[in-house]
Amino acid sequence: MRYKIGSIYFIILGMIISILGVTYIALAFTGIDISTNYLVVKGSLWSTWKGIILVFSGIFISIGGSDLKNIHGLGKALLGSITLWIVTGANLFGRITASIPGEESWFSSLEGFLSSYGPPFEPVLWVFPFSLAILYFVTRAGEQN
Amino acid sequence: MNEKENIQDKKQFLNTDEKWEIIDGISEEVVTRGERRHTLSEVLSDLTVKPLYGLPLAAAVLFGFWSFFGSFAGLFTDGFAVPAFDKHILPWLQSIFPNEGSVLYWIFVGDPAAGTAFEAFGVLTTGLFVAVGVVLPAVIAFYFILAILEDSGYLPRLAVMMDTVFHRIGLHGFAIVPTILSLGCNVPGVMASRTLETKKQRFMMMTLLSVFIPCGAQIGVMNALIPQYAGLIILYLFGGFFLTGALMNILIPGESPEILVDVPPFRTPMASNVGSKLWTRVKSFFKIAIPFVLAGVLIIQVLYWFGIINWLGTVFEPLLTTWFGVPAETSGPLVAGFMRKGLAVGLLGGIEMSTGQLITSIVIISLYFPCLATFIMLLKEGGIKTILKSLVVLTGSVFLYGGLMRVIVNLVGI
Repeated sequence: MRYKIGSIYFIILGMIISILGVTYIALAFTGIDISTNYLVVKGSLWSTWKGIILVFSGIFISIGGSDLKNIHGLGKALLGSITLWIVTGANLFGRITASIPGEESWFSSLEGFLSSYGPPFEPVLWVFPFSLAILYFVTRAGEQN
Repeated sequence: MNEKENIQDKKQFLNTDEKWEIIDGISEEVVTRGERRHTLSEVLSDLTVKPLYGLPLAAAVLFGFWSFFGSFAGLFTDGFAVPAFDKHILPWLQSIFPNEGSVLYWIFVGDPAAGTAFEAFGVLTTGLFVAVGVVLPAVIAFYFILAILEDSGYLPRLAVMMDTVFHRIGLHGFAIVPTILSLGCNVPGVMASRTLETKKQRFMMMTLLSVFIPCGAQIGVMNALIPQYAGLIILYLFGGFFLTGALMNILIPGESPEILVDVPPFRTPMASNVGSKLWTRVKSFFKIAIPFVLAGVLIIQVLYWFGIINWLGTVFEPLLTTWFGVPAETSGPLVAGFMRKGLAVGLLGGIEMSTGQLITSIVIISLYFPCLATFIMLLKEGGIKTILKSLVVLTGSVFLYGGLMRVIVNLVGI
């Protein structure tokens, strides 16, 4: 039952990630930026690269997620999640490095430092926590082996 | 006849089937058979060398690589080095150094009216800023990621993935190792070319690296100077790398043999190993980079003082302005580029020109001549003949790709 729910969950998650990837590419080609209180996407060259990675990440998560019981399916879903985590990690590291130096002094104030971690976030940061569910199935596969 | 000789004698008269029967008999006795399941690590390992899954992962890994590089170098260069040099070190040097109009002031501090370390051109201002503030963070970031990729076992997988691409230009997948190393510094990249099998492959690799692959310092300065176009310039140079490589593969006689790659299992990199690799590489890079950067600034300043740069500008003006469409003053950084490419790109920041001209100038500096350290390494690894043949490729590439970039920026309207 858990695997069945997991499969449906990852198929949907993968589709959402792929749609996000297509959005990134579309915005990069049109040069449009999206910026709301919670969400920000910049239409730059980097977005094309990011978009392509996300499209494939979503496809791998959906394909692998549809056959989670099989170790090969789980591997594909995990590979898709890893590609998503790389993009998320890069984004988080960029936030960390941007939050350290201050404009007037060497280091940013505590308020300025903390505010760098608030929204708006890129869509990859919003979907990242949902992708961590794969770790549950990875742990189970480890126990079975 | 003892037993050993008896078996030896029998073996000579056994046909293949009989030999296999003996082998089967032995294996029946000694091999225990059972059901074996693939582990997740093995599945991942297999997927990473299949193009359908491996290429998107490679794209993600390279994305992570460049993001980390840009963020890390940006933190130290823009966050700390720029304010340190522009607000503290430069004004301090300008205030304590005696005799503002003297040659020593010009060489060590540079232009007394300069407001930033980039514009001053002095050994202790621009020289130290480029070496410590720009090059060092870029090189640390680069070698850190490279060490992680090596120790995790991903680099051989990348070699397998890239084999098809490199085969099209007469090289093989492991050419990715000198190529990636060159993105840090061309010197270890050229050294690593000796692992390639044939003379043709080694010559091609050394030439392509020294002409088309920008080093970490150069990329770091490019990122600081025109961040929005740095990626496109690198893509353009990579395009030149493969196009010229394909041409060289057709024109140069010689073999391009196949390779067998032993792909190790994935491993968690050990912090001590990563740390020691990083330390060794950064230390050796620093020994090469710092003296050349400082010597480069010193030579340029002396040449400026004696009016030689202006004279070179006049000599090369027709070529620079008509064929490449860049200002005549670009000849100064071109001379500096022989000492250190990163420094030369940095010096372009002090010359008044349009963004399109800046892009073309960076492409020319990237292509026109390897820096002195790479030049010495090319000489050591390939000899004078290699240098001369490389120079032919280099001259053609500068005119072709430099001129083409001018056309592109004009057409796009940058």
